[in-house]
Amino acid sequence: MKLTAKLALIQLRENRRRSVLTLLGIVLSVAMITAVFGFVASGRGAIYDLIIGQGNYHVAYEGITPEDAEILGSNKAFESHYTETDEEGVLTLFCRLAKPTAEATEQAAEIAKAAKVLDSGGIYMNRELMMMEGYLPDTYTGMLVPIAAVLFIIIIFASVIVVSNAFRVSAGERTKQFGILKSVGATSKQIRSTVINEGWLLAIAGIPVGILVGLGVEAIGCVIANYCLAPLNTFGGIAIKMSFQAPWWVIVFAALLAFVTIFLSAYLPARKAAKIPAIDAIRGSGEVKLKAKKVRTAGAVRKIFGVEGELAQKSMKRSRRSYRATVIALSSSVILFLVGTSLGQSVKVSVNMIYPNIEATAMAQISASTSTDMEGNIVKLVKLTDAATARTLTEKFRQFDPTSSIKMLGENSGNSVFTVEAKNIFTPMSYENLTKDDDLAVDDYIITFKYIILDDAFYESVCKQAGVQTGENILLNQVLDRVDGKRALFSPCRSDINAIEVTGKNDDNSVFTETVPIGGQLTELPPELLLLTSPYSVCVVTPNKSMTSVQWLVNVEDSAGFAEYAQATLKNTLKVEQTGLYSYNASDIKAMLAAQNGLANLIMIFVYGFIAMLTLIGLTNVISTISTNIRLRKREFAVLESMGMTEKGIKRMISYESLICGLRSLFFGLVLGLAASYFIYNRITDVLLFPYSFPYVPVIAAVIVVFLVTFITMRFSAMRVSKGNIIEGIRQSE
Amino acid sequence: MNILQVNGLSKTYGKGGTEVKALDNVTFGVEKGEFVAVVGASGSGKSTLLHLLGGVDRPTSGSVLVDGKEIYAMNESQLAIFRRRNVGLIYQFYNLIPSLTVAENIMLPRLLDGRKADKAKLREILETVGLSDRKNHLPNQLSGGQQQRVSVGRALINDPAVILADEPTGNLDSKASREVIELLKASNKRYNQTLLIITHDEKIALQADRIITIEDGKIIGDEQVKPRQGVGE
Repeated sequence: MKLTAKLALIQLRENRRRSVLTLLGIVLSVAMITAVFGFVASGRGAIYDLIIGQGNYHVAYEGITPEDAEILGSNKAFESHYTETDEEGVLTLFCRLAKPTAEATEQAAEIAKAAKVLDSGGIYMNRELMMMEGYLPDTYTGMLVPIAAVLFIIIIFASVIVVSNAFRVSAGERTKQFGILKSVGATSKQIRSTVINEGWLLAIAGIPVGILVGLGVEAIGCVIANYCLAPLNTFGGIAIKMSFQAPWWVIVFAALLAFVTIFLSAYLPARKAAKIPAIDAIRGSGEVKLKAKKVRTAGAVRKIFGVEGELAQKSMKRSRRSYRATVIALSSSVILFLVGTSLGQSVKVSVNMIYPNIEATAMAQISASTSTDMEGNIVKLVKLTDAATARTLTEKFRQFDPTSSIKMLGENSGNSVFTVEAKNIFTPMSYENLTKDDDLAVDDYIITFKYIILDDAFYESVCKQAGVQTGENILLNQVLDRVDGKRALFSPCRSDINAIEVTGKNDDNSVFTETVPIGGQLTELPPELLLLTSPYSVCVVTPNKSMTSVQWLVNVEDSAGFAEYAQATLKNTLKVEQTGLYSYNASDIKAMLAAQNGLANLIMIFVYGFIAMLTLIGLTNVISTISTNIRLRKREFAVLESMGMTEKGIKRMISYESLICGLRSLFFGLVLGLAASYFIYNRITDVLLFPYSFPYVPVIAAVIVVFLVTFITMRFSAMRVSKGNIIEGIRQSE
Repeated sequence: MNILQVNGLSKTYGKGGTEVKALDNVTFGVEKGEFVAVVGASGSGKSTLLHLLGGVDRPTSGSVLVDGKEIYAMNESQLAIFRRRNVGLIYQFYNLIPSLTVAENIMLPRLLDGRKADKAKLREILETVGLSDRKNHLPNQLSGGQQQRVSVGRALINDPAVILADEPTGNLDSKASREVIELLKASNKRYNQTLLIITHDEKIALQADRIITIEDGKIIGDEQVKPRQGVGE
């Protein structure tokens, strides 16, 4: 073995504790990189499997004749093909292109033209698969890139900090040793080589272990993910399953990154150490270069924490760099934790927002089909659901489970739409609110009008609440909207409305107006009705009217069974020959929410796992920084002791240092983390409106964890300092 | 009464075959205001003696009385408090706290004692050690001689019963050595400060009132070089 390598090995063995901590840092950062990227690879694999499961093709010819399908299918431009015939007898040919391009549709059309197939049917491409296979720009990944980039930077940052800090401290601590080596004739190159060899040895030991740990974490992650995804699979019949993947590029990337980090972390301090003149290194005068201004402290510190507190603060300022690493590691854990939890919370809230406060486990709905003209305007509603049919359906739904509660909400927004003049109905303030952002706003601002039809029991309760007799029309005067950037409930309509002029269109496109008498108003809506109102329309509850759409919100124990039953009931009641006139469906809300919650949980688990690793890295860093610092300052402590500082005083001083570290991390972490989570909240609420709730629980949790970490390091440091006596401490560096 | 009284003080390192008697049944006394030099070859036990007098080590047997108090009857905390009030230690390698300024380093023993910073006292000491214009400098901005003067100042701040200096000039050039010794002598005269110096330097030893010579852990010589000021013989 070369001398420098031998010196390195001796050094590692001598400082076993620090070597272990550095090794732990390397293992953790390699593991984190491997796990995160491995998990991403597995997730991508799962999505790919899902897309392939829906059809392994690039392009499809829909409505092709069997003969043409055969001609095209055997074309050499296609790698593979298969056909499918749907219920209506339409034949579709699915093909995988041998050489796909981004313009696969044109490609397919040309192939058909070249093969002299005249009617190749409707050609469409499988965008998802094309994206996954990299032939189209990947919009899915595109969305994830910023998130991935942030995680990536954090991982790299954390690992570079922990590893480089360890080496910097190692080189600094040994300045004197380097000086002695130099004075007996070692060249700068040999000194660099010693430190770098130390790096190699640690890399060889740490990287493979890190990769194994990372793959282990990934495997566990996959099991947990599958557990969370299970409700999604039972719900939609989608078979999404994470299978453990360990692609070579992940391993190579993790190893390479760790190598580069270790090398640079070892090289830079070694170069610095090698530059210090021998005699300065021996005297130890080269290491501390301070300016008085840098270590100035506020007078209040001494008053509150005593001279120990002041000393603690000064020594922290002295070795600012090592502490900065710790503070960064800890505070980024806090930031991530807050961002992660608020992200998860937002997902959960938005899931629940779909049916806020509504106790429904299943739903069924019908909407009338519409036909549109060339410009896309609705010209005719083909079929309305009359009140009698709706009532029959409600009864039939109830038959599934007599204990279930069912609420029917129907809407009639007219052929095309009913409109009213906003000025006549809205209060001046809400009229201004409505029109202020609209350049085209004119005096006769028009908004849509909807009749709301409810089941009898619900209608009666609404009448009672509004204080009107059954049979009257009730104006729903409450909406949920963002006012001055805040989500709020308010009543847009005036309170003295007796009748509303409504304009509509007949089947032949002629215009008619009708006057809708208003019997009363409802300014506090039950949650189901709040779903129907919006600031851009006026809703009036009316008894017995046919509907353009109906939905039933059902609270039933066996939601899956109900969804199936309702689907069949709708099909039978609306008659097969009429189904083209309606679109209808029934769904299991409970399962859907479970699936979405599963997804939210998955995000949370991923975030927590990531944070746990980062915190572990932070902790390793804190311990290694503090313990090395204490070793370096052994003489200083001994001097303080010889001047009459008690052991308790010294321990207190070290505790203050940990405390300052923790408090500073907490400060940066909380401020930045809360700002980031509020930013995320704002972005999300551009789409969904829900109030900002201060994340008390995560903040308290972060505070507790940071103090726990601080406490552990305090104990650890105090343990280290109580060994050895004063004379040895003072003599150590003489 | 002697300010410092040592009775049958012994210190043994190691056990059995490797046993080394660093100090062997040493007895002597020092009067208040006396300037004593302890000389001896390397390994003679003089540093061990100084550490035992300063209360930073514990003897194998024997006792040390400072101002009539038996210091090794105290527990660790009491001993720490004793040190900060009654002993001023000066080391060969200054041992200043690198993150504290000159003024803060000097004031440290006083602050450790939970007392208020005494501005007048600090100014007086800074003047004595000749560092008034450098009170806000950090140790690494000072020369070796200046650093040692800071540590003398630090030893003086609490008006200790005794100042113990372990080779205070061992790391200094002759000019700086002279300055530090002059400073110590001046404080000895001006404040009637008891002073015990360990040294190799014969010239320094000859400036003391009394020279104690140690060899193999025993006192082999104890001579009064010149009559003590104010006492007069």
